[in-house]
Amino acid sequence: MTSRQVEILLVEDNPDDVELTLHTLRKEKLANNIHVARDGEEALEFLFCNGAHANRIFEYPPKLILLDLKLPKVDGMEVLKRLKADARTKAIPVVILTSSKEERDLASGYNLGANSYIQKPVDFDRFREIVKTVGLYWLVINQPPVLEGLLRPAAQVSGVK
Amino acid sequence: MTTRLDPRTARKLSLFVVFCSLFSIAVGLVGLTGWVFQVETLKSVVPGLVTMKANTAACFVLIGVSLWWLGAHDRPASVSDWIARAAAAMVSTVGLLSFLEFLGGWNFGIDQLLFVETAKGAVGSVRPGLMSPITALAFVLLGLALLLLDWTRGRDASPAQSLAFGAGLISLFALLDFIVQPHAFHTHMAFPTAIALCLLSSGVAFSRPERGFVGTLLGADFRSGAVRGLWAAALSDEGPIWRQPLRYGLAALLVFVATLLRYIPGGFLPARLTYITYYPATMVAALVGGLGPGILATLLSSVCVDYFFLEPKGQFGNKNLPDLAGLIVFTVIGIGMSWLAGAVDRTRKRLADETRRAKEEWERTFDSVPEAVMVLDPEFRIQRANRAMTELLALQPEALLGKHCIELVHNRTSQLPDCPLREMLQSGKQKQRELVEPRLNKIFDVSATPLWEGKNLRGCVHVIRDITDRKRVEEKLRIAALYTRSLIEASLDPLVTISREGKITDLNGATEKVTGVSREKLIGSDFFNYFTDPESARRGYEQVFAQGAVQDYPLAIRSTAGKVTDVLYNATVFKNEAGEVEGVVAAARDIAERKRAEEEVHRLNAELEQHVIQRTAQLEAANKELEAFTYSVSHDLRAPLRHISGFSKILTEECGPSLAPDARHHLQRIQEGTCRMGQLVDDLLNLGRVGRHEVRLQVTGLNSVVNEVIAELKAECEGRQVEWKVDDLPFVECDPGLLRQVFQNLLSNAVKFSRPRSQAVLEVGQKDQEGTPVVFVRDNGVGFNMKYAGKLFGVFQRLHRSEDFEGTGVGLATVQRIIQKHGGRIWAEAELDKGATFYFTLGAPEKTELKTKAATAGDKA
Repeated sequence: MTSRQVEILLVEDNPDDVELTLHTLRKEKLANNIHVARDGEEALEFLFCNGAHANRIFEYPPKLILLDLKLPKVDGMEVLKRLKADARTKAIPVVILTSSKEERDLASGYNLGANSYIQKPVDFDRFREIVKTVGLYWLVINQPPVLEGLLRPAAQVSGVK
Repeated sequence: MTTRLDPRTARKLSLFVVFCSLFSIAVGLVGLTGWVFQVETLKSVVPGLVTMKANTAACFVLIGVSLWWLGAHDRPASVSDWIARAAAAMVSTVGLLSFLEFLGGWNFGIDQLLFVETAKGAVGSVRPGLMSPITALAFVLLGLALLLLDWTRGRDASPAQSLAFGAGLISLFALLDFIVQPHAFHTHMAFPTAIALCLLSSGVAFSRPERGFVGTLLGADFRSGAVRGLWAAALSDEGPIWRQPLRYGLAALLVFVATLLRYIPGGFLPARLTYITYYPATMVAALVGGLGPGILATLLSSVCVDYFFLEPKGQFGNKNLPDLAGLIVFTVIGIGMSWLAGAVDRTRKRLADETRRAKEEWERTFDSVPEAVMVLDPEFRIQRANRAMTELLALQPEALLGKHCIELVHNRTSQLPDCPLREMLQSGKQKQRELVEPRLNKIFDVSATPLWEGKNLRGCVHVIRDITDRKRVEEKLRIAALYTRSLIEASLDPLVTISREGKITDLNGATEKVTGVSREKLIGSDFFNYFTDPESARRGYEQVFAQGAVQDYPLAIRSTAGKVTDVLYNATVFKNEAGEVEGVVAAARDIAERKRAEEEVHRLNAELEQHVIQRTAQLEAANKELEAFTYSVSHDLRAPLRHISGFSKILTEECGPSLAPDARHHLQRIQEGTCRMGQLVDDLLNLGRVGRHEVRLQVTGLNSVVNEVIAELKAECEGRQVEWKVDDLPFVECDPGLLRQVFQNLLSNAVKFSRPRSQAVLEVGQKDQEGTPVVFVRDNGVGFNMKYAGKLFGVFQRLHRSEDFEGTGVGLATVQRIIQKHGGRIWAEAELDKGATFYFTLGAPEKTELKTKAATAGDKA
């Protein structure tokens, strides 16, 4: 069951970015179970367990979504909008991880319910620092929400509290 | 009334009066002496004749004294004067009583009062002691005359003189009695009495020689035609009777002459021709003197006939019937004739008056008409000329008469070619024309009217009116009217005047042109008919009357050819002299040209609008493109950089130890390059963002902004000796975010370029430059050469090598952009190795969106 639990959904079309992100996360031993969606459509299918992920069980949503904005097919904003519009997925923390620092993107990101917005720095050291911090924060420090209809031991929830 | 006599004459007359008075006194005294001593010779002078009565003698003394006193003393009343008058009154009274005694046969007891006369002594007398009735009458008149002398209103001597004149006539009558044959007329008068009375009458008459009609008579200038005037004045029936002594005197004289003429032939004439001389005398008296003298003559004649020629002679009354009848017939005829003569006289006088008045009126009129008038004979010689004529020629009236008008007026010898006189003479009708007289430099209106006498031309009336002024005024008016007309005609706008009834009363050529209708047909026609919308025209016209004026009233004139002209009407009411609204004057302005121009403007505006829309669209498209570009720069350009940086880092970390030092160095350089590239991209994006950024103004204290920035920068200065000097900075209206960037850039530059200094001094301050606050940031760093100052604010422009001082060359460009967006100015002063100062001002922030967008791509400062 744990093995099947996806901790991070990385939505990123650029393979280099995927590689660098995964490299960092692995190095920091932050996530064993990372699912990478290469476009917005796949991300949505994964989240809502349909399409290519129709066999996935809805009860195990990712703990954190790292969302790039510029994506093929369905862009990051649309994905954010859809998942935040759905009661089942709207509680999942979404961290926008993008090259853009445009105010427009920032504004609409937060408006649509993004939990955090981070610009990927050019400097790899800083990038690593950020990814590490984000992973630590959202996966370790932050208390995840009780997801509605999810099969999760009540003790675990109360235990954290 | 007073005549000034020459002194000699006056003195002579005065002496004469004294002589008369003394003579009277002397006669009286002689008579009295005769009575006292009963000397008959002294009583009657001529023996056998009637004696002078004692009363008569006494009266002579009294009246002589009275005359002597009053006549010699023409002065205000005094006591002696009153005594003299009392004497005169006494004489008059005695005379009156004596006359009454004679008339009525009474005896008042005055006759024998002084001396008793016997019947024997009283031969030829009416009765003993009673004076002659003639003498008595003369005394009455003379006494009254002296009494009235200087006593009447205005000290008029005429009444006294008239009375004296009457007395003189009576005494003359008595004197004649002695001249023809003693006592022929039964006057019962003594001879010295008659002489004394004659002299006394003259004395009284001449006692006031400078006054009354005697004055007039003596003052008359006999050399001129004054005798006629005097005669007329003497015969004048103006005023009271005593003013007309000659008329009545003449009547009396005529009767006297008639008596004389009747008496002289005496017995030769049959008794029945008694009245033969009296009828002519009465008639002449009536014809010459009129009613009054006629009646006087008639009555005197009756008395004389009765007394002298009817039996019993020498007495009044007791006549037989035929004689009485004859006397009554004579009296009635005489009075009738007098009345007729008076009536004729009055009519004659009335006619004469009317003629005189008409003549006077005519002459006054003739002289007072402003036109020069001449009466000419057929040869054009001047017979009469009025005052205007003499004034026109500046000549005396006498100088004109008889002169030839051509010579005198026109100063020529031959006839004028256009003389109306000649034409009048030829046609026999009135002629009139205007003549220019160059000699007088005047224009005349000349007329000639013939004067006919039966069929003969007697002459003409020539009226000359000076019309120079009128002509000049007319000429001026004509020119003024022409000027006004030409102004109206010169107007390119159609002008019309419209009557209250809406009919056209006047117009100009432009109106004819625009309507295509001739002036003759337009005048009097209906104004509204020439418009495409007559109702609207009528409303506009009514509006003018209601409001006094209408401006830019749009109408369209339709010409006969069907051409429609759009016009704007400006119309006002105009008034007559009395200030009443006479009509409307309307000016139309052809706005076809204006309409075309307006349409053109509309079209051009629309085009421009279209252009603007297109350009805006293009700009927006360009902007979008730019944004897309920026987006892709930030996204797509940064991504590979990140990857290069990431992978090279991973390579360094994971394979670093096994790599040669050179390879590690290269990897390091890759790292740095990517970092700089990243920084460059960020800076560029920021510059673009600043360009697009809308300035949001709020009042900001610059000190807080500066302090925040310094706080951030202090981290960078760790381990360096940096002195921060911050003045009191002003509060300004600015975008605090952008201002923060400004200070961030300037101060980080200051920090950066002062790095070589062991002791860096960084200063932020303000100074006042011509009323504008200037903020400056100063460092004591490496500075720069001022000759490169122009490059300072250009994008990618750097004055230092990057290995000495890192940087992208975008920071100052961004700063300038921000300052410009605030409407301010930025400049720098520096000296190599001494430091640099950056100054900036903040003016009115710019608002133009387009400019900021267009400037986004980074302009050269």
